[in-house]
Amino acid sequence: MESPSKHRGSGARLGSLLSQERIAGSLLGAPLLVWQLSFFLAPLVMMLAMTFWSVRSYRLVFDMSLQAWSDVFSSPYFYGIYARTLLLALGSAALATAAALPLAYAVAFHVSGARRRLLLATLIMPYFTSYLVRSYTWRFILEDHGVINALIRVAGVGPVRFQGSIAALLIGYMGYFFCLVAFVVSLGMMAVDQRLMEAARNLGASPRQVFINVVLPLSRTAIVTAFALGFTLALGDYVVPSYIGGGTRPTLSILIVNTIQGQSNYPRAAVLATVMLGTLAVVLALGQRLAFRSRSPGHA
Amino acid sequence: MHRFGHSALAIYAAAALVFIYAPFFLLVLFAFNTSRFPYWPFQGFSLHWFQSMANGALFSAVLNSLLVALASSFIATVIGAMSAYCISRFNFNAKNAYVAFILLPPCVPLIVLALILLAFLRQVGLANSLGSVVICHVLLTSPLAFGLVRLRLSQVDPEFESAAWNLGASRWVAIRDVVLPLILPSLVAAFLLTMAVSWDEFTIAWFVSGANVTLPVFLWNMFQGQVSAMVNAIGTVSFVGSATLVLAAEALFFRQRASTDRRIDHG
Repeated sequence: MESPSKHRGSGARLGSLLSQERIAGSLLGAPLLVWQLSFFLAPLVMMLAMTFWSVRSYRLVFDMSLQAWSDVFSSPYFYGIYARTLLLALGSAALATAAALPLAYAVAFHVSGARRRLLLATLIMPYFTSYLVRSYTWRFILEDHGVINALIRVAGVGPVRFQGSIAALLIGYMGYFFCLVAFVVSLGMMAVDQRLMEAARNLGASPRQVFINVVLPLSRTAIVTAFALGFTLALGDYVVPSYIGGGTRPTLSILIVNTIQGQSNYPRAAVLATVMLGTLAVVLALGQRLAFRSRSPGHA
Repeated sequence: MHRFGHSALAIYAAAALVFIYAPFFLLVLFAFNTSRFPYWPFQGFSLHWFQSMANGALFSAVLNSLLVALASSFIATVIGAMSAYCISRFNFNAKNAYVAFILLPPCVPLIVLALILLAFLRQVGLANSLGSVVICHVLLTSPLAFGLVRLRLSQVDPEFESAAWNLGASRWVAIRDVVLPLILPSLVAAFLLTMAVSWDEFTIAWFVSGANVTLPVFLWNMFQGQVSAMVNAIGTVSFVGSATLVLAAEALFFRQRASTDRRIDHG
């Protein structure tokens, strides 16, 4: 590695300059590390410890009790809520990723230059704006008197009840992160070497075959990453299930909020959060295997 | 067949963009509606909801959000950029583990982050203040600043610094006089984007802010009350603010590559 010391110092001074370099590197790299250690790792470790604490007369007590764990897993409601949360997160992430493929294809192979940059900027901008109000607007769009039903009425079809339905939830999640998922898949497809597609076409492959056998495998990492992002966002979201879903279909995040706001039961909420993190870890590990498995068929 | 494929794809892309932008369009449209319900048909044009925004609680929520966004994005950009420089120009053991670890917090579900931060900050006596929101937002946004600045540093030739060292500059003087001017657009972009994220963040702020509500928490509280198009009016103003931040960040980020290319051509 290049460093100022190589350019100036010689002999005895070199040693002290090298250690100065070490200090410079540490000074630059340390603040962010210290921040994440104190405000991320420490809270995370505390959450794990907290699952064994207990609550006595509304006060948290240091303990080594399995009470919170058994409370959660012996509740008859927990399993239904857990299954719903998992299916909603998997379903909405899969839906967003599948819907992103044609859009990403258009971005990657049908536009270029300034127009493509503009399209990418247009795609990602909404993700960073108005998270809360987007859900608010979607809820009213989907209501009985909302815009969608007004449009349907023009076509002469009776009102569709979206309120609290699975369809409304899926639309809500799509409204939340479809733009981000589409952005990530687009970046992945942009990195596909178009000469390989050209070669496949020259060998007589149809557009469909080129897409399935060349484009999809080569952008697999981006597709899996986009799916994982969607899954993570859906899993940890409170606003869509509680506001668009109307709370009629509780998810893990709703359960966590109720456990804190209603009962101030931190140990039980910590167990729920641990379950959520464990689920995320398993799904991401499976996704990782899918993304990197048999990368090079010759070595498989 | 080929032609048909093209136009089908174009129609699909247009429909996808309509889906993405429909809520923004309707949000703004119904902010100017006379009715308090955001229902079609549009009842009539009115500025009533914007005029009724002038109230103290909203003003203090906006002020809180501004303070939190400015403080957290300043800290996140500074320590994120320092880390990015460290990663780009130094070699050390466990570098990959270091990067993976500092990028981890935004990969954790927001509700889990909110819960563990509330529990932890309560335990150490830092909860229920604007300061606690700043702490959490730095955690959430510094990886973003790190990533943006690192991307930019990877485009800046390390030879520029070597040249400065040859001319007698120290590491720090080279950073100040050579590196900083070259990465300045990405620093500003990182600052603006992290500010937009902080300005818009709801879940964590809702958990840890206590009585010091930020703008998203204020809006959430409004959602629980009577339906009012004031939500649309506030949402519109908030949207214009964050969209400006994000678009400015994007413009800076896309322009800087072109400007470096020019500089190197002349150099």
